[in-house]
Amino acid sequence: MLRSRGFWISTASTVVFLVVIAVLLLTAPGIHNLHEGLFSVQDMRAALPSVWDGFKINLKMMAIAEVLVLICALGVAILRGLPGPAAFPLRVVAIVYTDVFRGLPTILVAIFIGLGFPSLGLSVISTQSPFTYGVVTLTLVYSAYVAEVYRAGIESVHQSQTAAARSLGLSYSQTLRFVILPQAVRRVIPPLVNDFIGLQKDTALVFFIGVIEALQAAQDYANVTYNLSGLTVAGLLFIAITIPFTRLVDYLVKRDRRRTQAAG
Amino acid sequence: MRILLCSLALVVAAMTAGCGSSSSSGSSSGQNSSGSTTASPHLLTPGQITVGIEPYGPPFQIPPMSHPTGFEISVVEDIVKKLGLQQSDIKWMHVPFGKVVFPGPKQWDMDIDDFTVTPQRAQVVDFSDSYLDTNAGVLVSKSGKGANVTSIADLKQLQLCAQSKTTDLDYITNTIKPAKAPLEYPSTPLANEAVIAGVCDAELNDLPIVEDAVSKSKGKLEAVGQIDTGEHLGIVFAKGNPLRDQVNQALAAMKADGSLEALQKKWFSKDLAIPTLQ
Repeated sequence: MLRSRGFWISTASTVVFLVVIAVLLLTAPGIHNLHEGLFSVQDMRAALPSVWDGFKINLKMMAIAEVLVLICALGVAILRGLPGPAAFPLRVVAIVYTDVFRGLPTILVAIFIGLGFPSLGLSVISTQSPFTYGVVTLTLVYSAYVAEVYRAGIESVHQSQTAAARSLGLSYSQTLRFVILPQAVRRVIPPLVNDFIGLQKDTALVFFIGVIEALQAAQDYANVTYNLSGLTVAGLLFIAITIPFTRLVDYLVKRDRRRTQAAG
Repeated sequence: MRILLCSLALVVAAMTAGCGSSSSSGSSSGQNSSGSTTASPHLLTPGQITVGIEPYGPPFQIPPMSHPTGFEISVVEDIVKKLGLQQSDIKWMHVPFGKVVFPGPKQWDMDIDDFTVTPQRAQVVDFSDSYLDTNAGVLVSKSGKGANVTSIADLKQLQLCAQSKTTDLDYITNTIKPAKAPLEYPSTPLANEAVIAGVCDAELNDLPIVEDAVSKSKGKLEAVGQIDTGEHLGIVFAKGNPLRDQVNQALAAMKADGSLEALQKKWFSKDLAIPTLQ
């Protein structure tokens, strides 16, 4: 009974909230300008085919880059956590890498790689497509962020776990593989999702190195027609990907938690 | 007297709209004139003309924003003199593309930024008469694949590129129809750099921009030809802004007395004889 009362209260407050927002927006004196400039249905429909073609490039880029980031970032996080004085240079490399690539604006990295690499005149490095340079850019930038996320997860696993594993005779790499990482990765899934959504949106930045992706296609539509509604289409497409993605991961995390708790 | 002048302006407006870009004046609501009926220029702030620019495209517009120079800046300065204002009455305002085309009241009187007049665009904004008739130039690297281009057909097999906001990308996609999808860069320097780096074999851009890039490239870049796109560049006004007719009169006077041509000679390199590609 209490539960259904809560349900009705939350429904009512949501409706009131939405109505207030709608009234504020729709009674704005310039609402017809907004409607005409950004939400013209006719223009959105006309822009959709080219924006969708562009968005397929964003999708491909995010899919490839996300897999590469998961792998590279883990490598960097492991390098950074290596014990012993002999591994010092590797730790320094990992630290410098994360510092530099988290600090540089993504657009700069895109330009350095997308226009810098081809001008070197080397055989493999200089002959890739702008799409590939875009993937490399996103992988470099986001691996730096995600490596730090992994590191936070690894350091959050209590030291007694390592001690216990080592005393059972597991090597350092076995301890990492079977004891630390499975616990660490579970804990950092929500912040990982955060970074992936950032990456998905940043696929739009590759237009700086020539790739015509969704936003650029929308800009091109605006350029021909002087109407910006294509940008709204691009925005809707991005949201249509990120929201289900977030919900799916939420669901998976919840299911996983239920399982591990049941097993424990 | 005032009424007479106004009706005269209206007649001129009707005539220029009729022979200029099609279907531009039909739905003009004139919401921007805000009822000011003075015979002096129709301005948002009396005595001050606010001009939108984006000064990143030599030789049309050259930074800094506070004291821009370049061909289009000179054109505006001449127009303003013909309107009976001083050069010091100009207020330059940085106006990005989205703000130029977005419907609703504008914060500027006119905007000049290398805009090619097309009928489709003229449904959204009003354009002045042409202040420059130009073609597209083909910019290539001297050591690249584009250096041997002698015809439009040669371009089809190359990786082409253009700068966003230009009509050249449209021309590439719909007229040249190359085998590879074209690349597009947000600014001229990035597009030029892509040509130097060999990412893009041939760039299409306004001929004066191409000539300027060649002259500054220290021998790296070359203009292999021009394509007869017959573009007319116009100044942008909010729909129905009566200032347009006064600017058109000023432009007509500048064409008659040769001052517009003098400005073109001053800002554009003319020593490059560039063949027209067929």
